Amino acid sequence: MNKSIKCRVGCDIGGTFTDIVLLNEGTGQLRIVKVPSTTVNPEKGVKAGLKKIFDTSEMKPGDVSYFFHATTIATNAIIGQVGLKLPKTAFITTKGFRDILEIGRQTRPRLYDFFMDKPKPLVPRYLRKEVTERIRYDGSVLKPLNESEVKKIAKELIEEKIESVAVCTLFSFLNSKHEKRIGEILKSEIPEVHISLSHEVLPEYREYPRAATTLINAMLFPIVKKYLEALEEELVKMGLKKSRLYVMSSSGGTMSFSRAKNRPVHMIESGPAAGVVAAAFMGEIMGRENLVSFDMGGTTAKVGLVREGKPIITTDYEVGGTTHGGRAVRGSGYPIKVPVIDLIEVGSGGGSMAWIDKGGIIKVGPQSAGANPGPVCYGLGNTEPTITDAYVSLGVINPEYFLGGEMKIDAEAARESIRGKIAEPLGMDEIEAANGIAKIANSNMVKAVKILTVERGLDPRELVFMAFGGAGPMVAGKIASELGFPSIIIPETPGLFSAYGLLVTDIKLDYSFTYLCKVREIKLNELNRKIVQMERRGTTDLMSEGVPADKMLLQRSVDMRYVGQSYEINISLPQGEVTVELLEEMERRFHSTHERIYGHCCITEPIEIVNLRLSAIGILPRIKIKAERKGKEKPSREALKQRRKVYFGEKKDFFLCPVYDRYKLSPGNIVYGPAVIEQRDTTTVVYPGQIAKVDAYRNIVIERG
Amino acid sequence: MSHLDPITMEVIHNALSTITEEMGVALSKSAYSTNIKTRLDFSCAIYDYSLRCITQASHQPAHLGTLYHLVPNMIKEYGIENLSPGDGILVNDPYRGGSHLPDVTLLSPVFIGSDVFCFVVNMAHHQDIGGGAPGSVPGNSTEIYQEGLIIPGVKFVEKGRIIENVFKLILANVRGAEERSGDYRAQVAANNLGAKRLKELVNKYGVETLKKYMDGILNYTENRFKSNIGNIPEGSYKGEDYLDDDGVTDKPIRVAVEITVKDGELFIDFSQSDKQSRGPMNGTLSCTYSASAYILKCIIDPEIPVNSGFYRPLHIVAPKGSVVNPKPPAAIAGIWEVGQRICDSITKALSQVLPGRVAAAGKGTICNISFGGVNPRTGKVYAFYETVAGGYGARPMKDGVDAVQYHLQNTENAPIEELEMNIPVMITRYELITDSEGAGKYRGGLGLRRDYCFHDHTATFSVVADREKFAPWGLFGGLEGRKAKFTLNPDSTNPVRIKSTATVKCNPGDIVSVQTPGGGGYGDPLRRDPGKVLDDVRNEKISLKRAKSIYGVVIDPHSLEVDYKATEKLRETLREKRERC
Repeated sequence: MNKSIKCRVGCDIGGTFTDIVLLNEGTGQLRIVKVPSTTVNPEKGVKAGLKKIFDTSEMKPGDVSYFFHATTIATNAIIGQVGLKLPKTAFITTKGFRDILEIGRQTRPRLYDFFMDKPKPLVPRYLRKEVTERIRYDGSVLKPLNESEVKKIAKELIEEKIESVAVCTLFSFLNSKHEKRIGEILKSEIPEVHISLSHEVLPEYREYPRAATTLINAMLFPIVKKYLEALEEELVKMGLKKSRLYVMSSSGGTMSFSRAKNRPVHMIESGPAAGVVAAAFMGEIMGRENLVSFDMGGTTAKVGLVREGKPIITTDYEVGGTTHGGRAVRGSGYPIKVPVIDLIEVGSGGGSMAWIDKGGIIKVGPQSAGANPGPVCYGLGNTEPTITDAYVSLGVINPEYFLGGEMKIDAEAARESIRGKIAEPLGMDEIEAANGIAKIANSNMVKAVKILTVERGLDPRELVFMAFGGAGPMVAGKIASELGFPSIIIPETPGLFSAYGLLVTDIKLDYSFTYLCKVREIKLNELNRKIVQMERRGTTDLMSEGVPADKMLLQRSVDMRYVGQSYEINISLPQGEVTVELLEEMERRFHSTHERIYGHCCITEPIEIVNLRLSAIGILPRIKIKAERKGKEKPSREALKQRRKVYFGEKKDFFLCPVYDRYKLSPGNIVYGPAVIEQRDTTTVVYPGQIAKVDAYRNIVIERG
Repeated sequence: MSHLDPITMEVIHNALSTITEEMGVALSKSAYSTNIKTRLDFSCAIYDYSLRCITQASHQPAHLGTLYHLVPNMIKEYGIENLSPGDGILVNDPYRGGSHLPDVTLLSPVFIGSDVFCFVVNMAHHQDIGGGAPGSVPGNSTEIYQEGLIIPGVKFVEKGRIIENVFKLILANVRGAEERSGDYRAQVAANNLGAKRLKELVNKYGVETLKKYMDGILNYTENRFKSNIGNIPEGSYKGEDYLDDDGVTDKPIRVAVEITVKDGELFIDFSQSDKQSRGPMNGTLSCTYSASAYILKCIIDPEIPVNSGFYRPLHIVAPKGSVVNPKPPAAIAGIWEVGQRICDSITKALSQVLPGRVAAAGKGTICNISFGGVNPRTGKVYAFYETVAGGYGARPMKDGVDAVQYHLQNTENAPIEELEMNIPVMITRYELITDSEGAGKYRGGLGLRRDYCFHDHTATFSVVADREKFAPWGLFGGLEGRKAKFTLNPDSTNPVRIKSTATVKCNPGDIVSVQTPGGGGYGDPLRRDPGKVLDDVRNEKISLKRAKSIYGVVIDPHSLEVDYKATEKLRETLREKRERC
């Protein structure tokens, strides 16, 4: 065996399954295994999966060039998953403000519900401690820190057997003197306890989100550290190299295990980011830099956005929150102001249930039958009709070829449930009802896509729609055409596509600090000095991640707004020293972005900058995907599996339509809609009036005929 | 509804509500003021050609019924025939159906061909609209003219552009004109977007189909609401409550309601309420309507869509010249205080027949805080407005929430660091108030304390609040919550009480302490789980002393453990004592 050939391994731990993917860097061949997740000790499941994949591969653990890990352990810990006990944590702040965490934004998450509750404070009041000190709005010290109070608190924390501490004092992002000193005193008094300081975790203004972010970092620290150390031990024992182990961060990059241990709050949304990263990667190969990624699975549909090759990031995220119609309900979770890939999630997955509300209207989701018991047609006990049942009834899903025929599907049970639960009560026929379920689910998903595109001033006609997940390719044709996307891309293996994202990412470390100043009043020397400091930190950290200098990329950006606004827009800041000319250019960019997003701008209004941000990127070697030569337009005779009656909702009738085997379609083939293309992990629908072409990378590209 | 397809109806309903939500996103993101932007003090709606509300995205329940009166009144007065494509009408007049003056509404017709098809509307609370006090919520006004600029419904936008002359006139009358101008522009942008989206929807479905389904949506809502009302036992139910005073005299104001449930409809009669007051404590008819609609939605069907169909089964009687429907030029800065009390009195009335669906009284005040002066950092005049949360009433089976917004309001707080960087004030305390809960088997939520220090300049500080004299009540044996308290220099040797509706001058170094009420309790406090009392004691939400005297729970001050035996005995004694009284 050729020793120079290496492999990359991705490992994604989900609620039910742990997916392991292995990519041969030489051949580009991809292999996957699924093993049951082991919730209490997730590393056991990983070990079992890895053993299984290496047993059937020519690769050995020592050949692993990069091990990339996505985990939801951080989120699960916060939302209270069984088996993950949050450590006993204390919070220290300025005297008079211990309740900022509990008051939050003072709003109630549901307006008309007397029985609503605010998210429970993660630290009870008796563990929220106050110290005398005060820094003013300009960074000057009004009251010096009372150090003996800090020492007294340290003693109390020992008595309470505290495992972790978060410190957030007012205006520490401007002057960190007091917070630093509190940290030093605690370190010397209780050295075994972890301490997160807010000016280190998130040196940005607005005390509540900064305090909450710091607290979550502190609470996750012991859990993540313990978990990553256990996993590291298992992996090293198996023969993987310690320096090759990475965790995916919420912003779609990766960082080494050792760094992740210190900034656990950055891995909150480690899992879901991967699908968008995969879409960005495939888009780049295809020369499509602006696209929507649409990942529809069993319980939800997740919509992401890629602009100029980069996944769109938000810093306005709440962990443990709820959503309503795809919109996050502000105040329903705990804010964490670190960069997170922006995803709109709606409760429309294959397992989402249809029901009739009090006034006689059909609704779909958000309740889901998930994977178990799953849709009615699985025959595992659920009797409420789901989206999958609707598509089975419409003839879209082939009951004989679900998961390649491995899973038995009871089409009659699906029809029966739609008839009994929806059609008869409303006095409509069963097919009309099934089509209605599909339509309503689609309208919910259309709304989610709109939130991320038209609401942000982006025209779907200038974007492509990349659909994956088990159910995405089935509905993509309808949703994308309703919104006017000119083309839809279905990657080769839609069911595995998310895991693929793990293998094609870069190292990425995110930094930020607040520098609130009107653009016209900026002291260039001071600003440049601060930027250089931040960049130096980024470069040093990248070096310690083993990134050579020629593979480093520093992407800077600035949060800007009109003076008086309290909502910022992130504008990228070109390389080099900040000059008057560059600031003028930034102002122009801000005006035009504001115009695009909000429909107006005012070039006479003064602008201010709020935060400076840096993504320090270590570029990893690109995976090469070979373009195949395109062959004939007409699919081979073997590719046509059968003709089947399928209902598309048009002309209120079934079409006798061709069904193709995806594995027998080859580059260059063209399929005219209406048609269905089947593969093990999904069913692609080419709706009437659409044509589908297989491109050189075996993606299906659907366009209007 | 038989000729309508329930699937298309859901899809169209979804599309219409998406438009108002999208308008809200555009408004909040491009506005300038904290009030609109992060506190989301605005609402967006679509009204149809026959002036019916089709859908409303409400971030603030207070706006529920205000647009319902304002839009038809305004369009009828202005004349639908006098409108052209691209026009926008600006209005804030309370006596034309508006809310208080800072709530400024922009109405824009959406034309399809030469006909008006719909109106897109948004109402936003501006930080200042002029008048006698910064923030335009004066505590001592006796006429509407002292509260700010009245905009009676004037053409503000023509061919999609703001009419500069009108704009200049408005901006000359408000504090912080620069910021304000951005807010008006954001309102125009939101309506432009709404109009664009509605036209896209018309292109897809056609005017006739949309009209048909809009009718269907209203009928669906009406039928659903009626069938829910039908589940309430028929009869008449009375409730009453009081406001501290009118801000000018010390006389309390009575808000009384009689609700009659009959044939799936609700008759809500305020005839027994007091006459209109001399000071700013007056509701308007649309406030009375909003408050009633909001609280009935909560109690009867929280998920029901907001449109004209929802309002159809509601019949409200509010005599002209009363505190719930004053005659001009009565001052109305305290309008939403009256609104909160309307919610409380309706809750009290319905608690007799729906005990499992109501909460005890909570904070019960909007607690409008506004202040301003000359900013020593810039030399410019500044104005700031915010509201402070308080305790929520206890609920059947559940405690009330600590420090949360109540009923008609749901506005966010201003982050302290952002506030202090923008405005010359310093917050010295922001915390829950120990022992402020109304005791009960389920206790009320704790009130909130926020202290403002004006360290380097003279400022004018206005409070328009309530529940300083009449505490939030409990239900079914639950006790009252702590009352509100407003104090100048609270921790000094010479603290001065500030009435709940007042405007005071602050000298450099002065501190104003705002302390909001706690929520009322639900059920007998002697039946509260001692473990929960212990939790509250450990968290210093309830003092040891109070645990013992009110809840009858004996806790060892050192080990912090409940002495169950002693507790049982003490509770027995307290019960006997209570019976003797």
